[in-house]
Amino acid sequence: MAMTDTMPDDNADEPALRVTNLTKYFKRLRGGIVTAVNGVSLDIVAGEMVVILGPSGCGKTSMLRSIAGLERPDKGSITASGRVVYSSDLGIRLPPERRGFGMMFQSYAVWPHMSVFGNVSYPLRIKRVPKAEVRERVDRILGIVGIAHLRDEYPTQLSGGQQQRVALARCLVADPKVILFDEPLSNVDAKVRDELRIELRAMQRRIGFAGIFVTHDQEEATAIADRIVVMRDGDFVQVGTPREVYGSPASRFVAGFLGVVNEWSGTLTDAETIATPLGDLAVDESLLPMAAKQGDPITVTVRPEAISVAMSEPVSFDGTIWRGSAEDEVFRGPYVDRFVSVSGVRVRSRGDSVRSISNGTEVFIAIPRSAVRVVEHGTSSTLVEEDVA
Amino acid sequence: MTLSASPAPPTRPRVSATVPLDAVPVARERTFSPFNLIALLLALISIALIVWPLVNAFIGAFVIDGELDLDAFARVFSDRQFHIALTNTAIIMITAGPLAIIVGAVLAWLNERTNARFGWLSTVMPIVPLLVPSIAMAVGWVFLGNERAGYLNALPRVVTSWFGPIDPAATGPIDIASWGGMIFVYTIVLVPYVYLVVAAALRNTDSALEEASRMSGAGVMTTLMRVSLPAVMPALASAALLVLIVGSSLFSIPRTIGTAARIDVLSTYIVRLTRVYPAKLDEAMAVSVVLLILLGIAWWGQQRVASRGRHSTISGKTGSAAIIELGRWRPVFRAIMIVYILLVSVLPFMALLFVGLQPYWTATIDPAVLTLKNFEAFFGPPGELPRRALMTSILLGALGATISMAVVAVMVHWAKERKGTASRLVEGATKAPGAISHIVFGVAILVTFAGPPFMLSGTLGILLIAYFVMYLPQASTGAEVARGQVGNELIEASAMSGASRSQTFWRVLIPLMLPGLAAGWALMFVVIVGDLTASAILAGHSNPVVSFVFLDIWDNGTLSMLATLGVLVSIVTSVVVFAALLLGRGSVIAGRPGRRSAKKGGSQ
Repeated sequence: MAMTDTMPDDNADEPALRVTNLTKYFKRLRGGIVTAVNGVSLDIVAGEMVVILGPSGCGKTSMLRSIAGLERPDKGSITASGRVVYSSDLGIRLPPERRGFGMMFQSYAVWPHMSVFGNVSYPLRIKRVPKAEVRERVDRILGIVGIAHLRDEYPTQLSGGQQQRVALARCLVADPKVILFDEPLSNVDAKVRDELRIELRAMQRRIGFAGIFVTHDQEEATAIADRIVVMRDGDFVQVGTPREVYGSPASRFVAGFLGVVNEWSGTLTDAETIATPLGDLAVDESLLPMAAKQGDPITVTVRPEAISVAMSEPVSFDGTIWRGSAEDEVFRGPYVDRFVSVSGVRVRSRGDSVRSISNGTEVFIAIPRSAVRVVEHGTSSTLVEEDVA
Repeated sequence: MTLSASPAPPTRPRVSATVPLDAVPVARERTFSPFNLIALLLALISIALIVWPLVNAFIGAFVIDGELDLDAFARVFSDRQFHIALTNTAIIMITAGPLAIIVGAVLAWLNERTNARFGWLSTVMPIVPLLVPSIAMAVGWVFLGNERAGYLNALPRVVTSWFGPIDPAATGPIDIASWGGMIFVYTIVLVPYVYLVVAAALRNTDSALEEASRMSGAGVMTTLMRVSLPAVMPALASAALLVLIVGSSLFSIPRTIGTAARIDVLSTYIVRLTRVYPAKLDEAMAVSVVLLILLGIAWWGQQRVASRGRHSTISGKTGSAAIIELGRWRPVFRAIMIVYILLVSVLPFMALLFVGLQPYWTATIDPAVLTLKNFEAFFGPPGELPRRALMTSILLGALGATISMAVVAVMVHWAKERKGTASRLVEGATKAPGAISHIVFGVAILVTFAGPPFMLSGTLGILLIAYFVMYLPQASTGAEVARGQVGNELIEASAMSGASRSQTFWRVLIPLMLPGLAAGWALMFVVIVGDLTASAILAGHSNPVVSFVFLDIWDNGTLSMLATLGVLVSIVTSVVVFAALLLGRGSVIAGRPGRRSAKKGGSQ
């Protein structure tokens, strides 16, 4: 009954993947150095899907490829379940084939000269797994990803979605603890993409690998992530659950990158009011920064779906009501984007598509106090309506 | 701002982190991969095979007893024959050179950009000139254009014979053994070099440039002259350099047509110096140095054109280029293409065939006297030497092509993976021989390997070394095209599946590169079998190759046997080329059932 008997394995409490202070520079062709990844750190536990989200050139792919071992970082360390695969201090850099990660590529990267079985069995054949076991494991994984019937086909005969399933089966078959996804769904069409996303989540729950998923598509990010890391210019600018990152963006950039926002700048007149060119805007005192004081320039964002448009002035509403005129309407199927001009500024709202409001109609827009997010404080800025789709 | 994801990890790996036993320090890991080691060795060996013979030959020629001795230069410069050869070479280069550039560029443009294309005929266009080796083609043109018995001269005489008796001593109107004949044959031989370079450049140039010109109101011709050709200016410059390098060391035409026309050029002059007894190798090297300096100046000029950035209009992968409609000019341009194919391979081959089928060469073709006697002789006792030469050439072609393609495939892949120093090393090893005259290489290899300690004189080994070094650029181009058609992610996916570099190379890369490598192999086979320059210097009766025997028969033998050999060599090279084309066109691995054609890399 000694305590040592129950001492946990050294690695059991280590995260599936730990990235510490990872830094990667790029040399420009004509001198000069760009910091692609700027000393970022990240822990990912088994069964967790972390999405790295950012615009192109933000360093997300460099980071992923550095973790994979396909690119050479300049500083930092990477450990997988406690095993060091890269460390600039210790002088260790394992080649990709010895890190034991799986990876899915944007271009499928399914080998055209091998059958589906040949592709999927490749990682096992490389490891010299006995033939019977190879067959058994490949057949099982083909069943799981739903392409058992394509076992003997060649990739050139498959659709994009089917090829991506082959790629997924290939990276699952060796049972890696960590799988890296490099925008794997951006080449398949929208419907298949949706389907694969849902299946990927289900498979992860069933198998329990840790995943890093790189994408520039915010919709994909929120749909698939346990945690979202928003990256910009090599830095992590916000880390949180999809709900946190979407609902409480830490900056104008994050707010603008995840969906569409209305952004207004103004001056704080009292603890609950901001004077904007559109009129006074009521805010929740608890959402203001601690240091905010009267007279401070302040920038806020409001999601369009938080803004409602009414033909008559709402009564007893906890927030701001502005009067404006309906300017334009964009029908998007399940919802409608409505633009309302308030004191000459376009305000974007999003509502149900049941009714239509003709242009020029006088309307009231209602902004709940709790929907106003402060994204910048202390610097004055011009009025912008940002639309990052 | 740097923000770490919760929970905040320590800045250094925790002490509990285990260092795997198979982890190796970064510095050692770089050199340890066996694949990298082999690639590095191959690159170094290749460079050594290029540089060492040249250096050795220079030292041997000009350093005597540790002192610089430039006496050979003095002897060469005082030789009147040298001045004649130099002048003649210059005359040919400033006439045939620009002609070849114009014809090659126009043909490339027609084929790549206009509706003068002919389907499969256009596809095989660049390789048609390879089907008949240049020495056989030159001899074929002698049969066609001889002022007395040439078929092209006989034809109009047949027509005039309907109106009166033929003058048996009639000559002309064509005389191939003349300045005009020389320049003409030089031109058609040099055209493919221009064609390949310019066609590749046109393929990579965005056709939107041309469309923009058309939309601005410019016609087809204006667009060609003002937009299309200027856009490929650097390609034209490198084509011009290539024409100079190849043209100045071309040996087949001056050795056959040139001898008849009594026009001596630098290449024949140098080879003669190596073939006299005792060989004047130092003088041959002195002429080689002069040639290298002249080509060096040309290279410098080409670099200046290439470095002018404003021509860089290449926009990477574009879709299929827009096709220019030629309208009523289309038949004219198509005729030009057909005429070129006729001139460069069909007519010379027919001439060889007819001479081969006749008991002796006469201008008139009488179906009654056509005989297979010459072919029977070839396979009987009189054909002993040519037969042996053909077998040797085929063996050397297969061996040389296989070795070259294997070596460059490893080197090119290594260079692409490692970039930096590796890629510069490989670039140097594979591209440098293209800038050096083959004649010079031939002499340098003779000087270095023929005598002690190698004693390779008259062996297949010395020919193999020469072929390998001289045709490295061709081999590497083939391998680069093949490698370029394999996407990087296909390679990375293999590494992520746990495969080592060697495993990836053999199991993924090589099978995917196979069609491209096959095409490269065929090209190598053909250039080696058709090689004359190295063969003229390095081959003898103990290691006879086709081109050597060609010259031997040309000097001492019967022309019918010469024609027979020409026909057979052309058939061999054609079969190999078309087989490789078919292989490259089909699925990645031919014969797999139910495979659609490989879709990687649309352009070839």
